[in-house]
Amino acid sequence: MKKIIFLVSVPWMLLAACQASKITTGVLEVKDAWARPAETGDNGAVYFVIENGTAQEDMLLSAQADIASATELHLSEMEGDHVSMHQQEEIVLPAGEAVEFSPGGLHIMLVGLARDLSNGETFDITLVFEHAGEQSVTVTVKDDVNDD
Amino acid sequence: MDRKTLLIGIGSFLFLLAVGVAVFVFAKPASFRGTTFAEPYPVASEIDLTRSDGSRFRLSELRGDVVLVFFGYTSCPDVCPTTLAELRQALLELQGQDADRVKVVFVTVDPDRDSPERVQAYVDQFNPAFIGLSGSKTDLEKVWADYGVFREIADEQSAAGYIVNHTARVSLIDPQGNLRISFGFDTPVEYIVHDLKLILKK
Repeated sequence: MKKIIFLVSVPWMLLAACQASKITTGVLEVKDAWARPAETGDNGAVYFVIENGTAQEDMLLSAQADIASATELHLSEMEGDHVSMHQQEEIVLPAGEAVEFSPGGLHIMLVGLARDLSNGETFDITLVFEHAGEQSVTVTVKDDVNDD
Repeated sequence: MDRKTLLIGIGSFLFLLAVGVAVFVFAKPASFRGTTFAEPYPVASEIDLTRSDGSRFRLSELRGDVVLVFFGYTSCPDVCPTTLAELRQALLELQGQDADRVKVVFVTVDPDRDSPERVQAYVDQFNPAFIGLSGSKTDLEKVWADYGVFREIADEQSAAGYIVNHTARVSLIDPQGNLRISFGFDTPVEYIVHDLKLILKK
């Protein structure tokens, strides 16, 4: 009987181990930053993944972007069919974990774009962290859809 | 490892596989992948609003076409552009003539900031064939109510002025003018393409 339990549970244990694996790069990294094309005067959103590979919890405190008149941290939340957007004071980044900013969830809101964002181009934003300090991030403008 | 253990191992694997397949098959008995309306299908209420050129738009004039209706606003940075980008992608994946028979209609939930011109300019960024609509608050309130659209001005501060919380669901109206399917925000584009193909075949 023990063998059966063992045989059946191995794949699940492996799966659980993968999910629980901690990022231990020793640094906080912002990866895959992108934004959708948008026009001057419109609002936009920046998405990315923050991997906190340090042993210490960090916090994203604010963002700055020359191309927008204001930059805010926001969370879109679905309650049933309703979407509501809430400005965030800060976003907690647990040690060893990745936090994903993605459509319909966390995003950096670019308020009042100073210029068009065209497919394929890039622009820079600065993210301010409690411990990691300021990091400049290059954002790629692209169309990306949930095509899974 | 003895043979009995191996057989039990393989057996348990096959059993789990069968359970997995059964769950997959029986969880989707309907041919459509979006959320379907039950028969008799509700007739889609008239949408009578203003286009960017000042003319009236009437949903009933699109009989014979498949119509996808979404409610949003042009200051919306996240969910609305994501949905419009997905609908554009769905039409691209349809290819051929069929895509011409699918009309995407975007109705504002923010008439104070969204003129018909502004809504049309906004949807033009995604696909100039998309139809952007606004109108008087009275006309819009009727459409919102008819389509069960929730919308409220959030009492939250933002440099964007104000934020509008709203229903983020795409409704599909068939060529006979009936409400048939709706798609929640997290619906993969391929599901929408799948359902469009099915409905266009009928």
